[in-house]
Amino acid sequence: MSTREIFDGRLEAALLLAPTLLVSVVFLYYPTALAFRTSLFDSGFGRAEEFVGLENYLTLLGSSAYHSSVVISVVFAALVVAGTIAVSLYLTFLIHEVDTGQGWYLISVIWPYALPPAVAALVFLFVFHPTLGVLTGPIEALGLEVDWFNDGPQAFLVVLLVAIWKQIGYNVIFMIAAMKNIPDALTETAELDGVGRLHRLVSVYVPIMTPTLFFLVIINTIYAFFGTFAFVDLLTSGGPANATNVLIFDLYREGFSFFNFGVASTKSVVLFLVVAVLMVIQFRLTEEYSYYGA
Amino acid sequence: MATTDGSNDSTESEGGPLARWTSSVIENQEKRDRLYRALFIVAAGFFLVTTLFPFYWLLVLALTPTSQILTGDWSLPIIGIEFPHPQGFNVYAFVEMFEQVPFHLFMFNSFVLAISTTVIVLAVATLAGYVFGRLEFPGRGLLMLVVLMISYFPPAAFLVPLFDAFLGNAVVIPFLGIELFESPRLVNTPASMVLPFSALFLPLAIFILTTFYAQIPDGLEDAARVEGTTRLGALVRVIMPLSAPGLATAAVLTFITVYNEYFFSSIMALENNPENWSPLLGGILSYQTQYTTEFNLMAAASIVGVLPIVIIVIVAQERIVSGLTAGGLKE
Repeated sequence: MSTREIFDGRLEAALLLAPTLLVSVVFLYYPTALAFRTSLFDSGFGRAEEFVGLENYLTLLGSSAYHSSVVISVVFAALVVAGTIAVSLYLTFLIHEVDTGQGWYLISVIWPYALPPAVAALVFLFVFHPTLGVLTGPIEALGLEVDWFNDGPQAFLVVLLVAIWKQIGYNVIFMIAAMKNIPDALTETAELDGVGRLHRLVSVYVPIMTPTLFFLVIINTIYAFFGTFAFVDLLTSGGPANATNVLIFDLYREGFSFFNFGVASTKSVVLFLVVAVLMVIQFRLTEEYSYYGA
Repeated sequence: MATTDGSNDSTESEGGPLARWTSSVIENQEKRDRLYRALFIVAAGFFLVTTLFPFYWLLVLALTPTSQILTGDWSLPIIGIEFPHPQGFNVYAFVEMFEQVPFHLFMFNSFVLAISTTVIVLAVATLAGYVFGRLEFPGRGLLMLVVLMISYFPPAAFLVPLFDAFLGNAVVIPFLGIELFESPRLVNTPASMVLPFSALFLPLAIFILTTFYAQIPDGLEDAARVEGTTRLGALVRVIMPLSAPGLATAAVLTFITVYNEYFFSSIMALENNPENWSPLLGGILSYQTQYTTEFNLMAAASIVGVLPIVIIVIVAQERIVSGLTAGGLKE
């Protein structure tokens, strides 16, 4: 087993890993450390940096606008994660059960994954546009008024819909693989025991798929916090009345519209911590509940 | 009482036709399958329409002349069903979109960004994947964690300092205040996007390649080594060709991600000009000016811009699925 030997492995490993570590440290770890530092400064475009300690953090702590941004983001993320998982699971099950043409079903379901988020945002803008949207007429015929340019909750709903729609493909890719790995014997046993199809999905497949599902919950959480920027930017710009002002957009505006790099960095750090805490909780839960096979 | 299979259902089938049908569905496997199939088709149809319809709607908008878009009535009575359809057939939109905005330049930018990132990521990730997949050394687990943790890094955490540095401001060591060097002004250049992308999208490629490289039998590499190749030689001549599907997958996924990227590129390209290396999304947004929005051209440009991705998805569907799942889940 010459390739698995211990001696000389360390040096070669270090050499071969050097490019990876270099790129990660220079463009990710170092700037992140820098963000922590800048968060302690009053820093902006064209003015001298001034050390202010924790003042930026205290400002955010006392800002009710920022609090509501945190609440909006967390609620948004929870809905995106739950909605994506539920819809994708059902879709995957449908595709899994079909016998012919599975490839085409799969393509048509996963293609939104490959679509640029910004284009997805535009597509939904065209579909739900208050004046030229194709679904606006039918929805208004039901007696609801489509006015999400001015109505906060409606705008939130539209952004939520795009966010879920866009993420379904990615989830289905993982779920279909996990579902295909489930031994046929289990399916057959369940069928012999007279377990109905949906019941089989919920009580047989889902428990076996827990590692995949937890992985997807984590990925979807990250996506909900960071990957949805394009939707907010292009559809609502955080409005109306900050109803869709999620943390990532709030931070973008602070940094690149107002050029308050100090406060923007503070917001980055807070966002980083929020997501880190969520990750830790999710990893704990994963360890505890997921099923890794006998 | 007309029952099909005599004895056992005499008690259940006493109700009306609906109850009879229900109980027969519960009893009879074949009927249950037929009902299920019908429900399946309805559900699958609904979801296919939801994923495919928006793209169709884009096409409708592209083909409809601007003047009609805002006033248009989208229904078409075919067999009593109202269905949105193009108002007119203005294929010229696909020409006009290139005349009004140099869209091909934006697309060229996107391709350059995506291809160069893919090349860098593959080169770096191959080495890392080899180390993690085939070498054993103390600290391997920890190093892997350090590298793969990046995929959980929020881009927002390092965006501001990176932007600051790319503006050409001096790079200092955090907390010590020692000035390292004056960074070159990288905003509006491909480097400002390719470099962070390469770092950001490395973990997935490393994941995929690690899994693939680990599966190559040791004997093959040993044979090559006995023949006198170096480790790198064995990697390039034996392991990489045998892992071609893995490499293809990593390449396709990286390409798609960079091609679609919006957050970084919208910040690093200060204006939506092709000269500023604004990618194709900048081009699509250029049809929206302060006074007018050319919805039909925007839709046409979206279609043209998305075409490469659609082709990739159709051709490489298997690769995408197997690669993501192989790389993403092991360990």
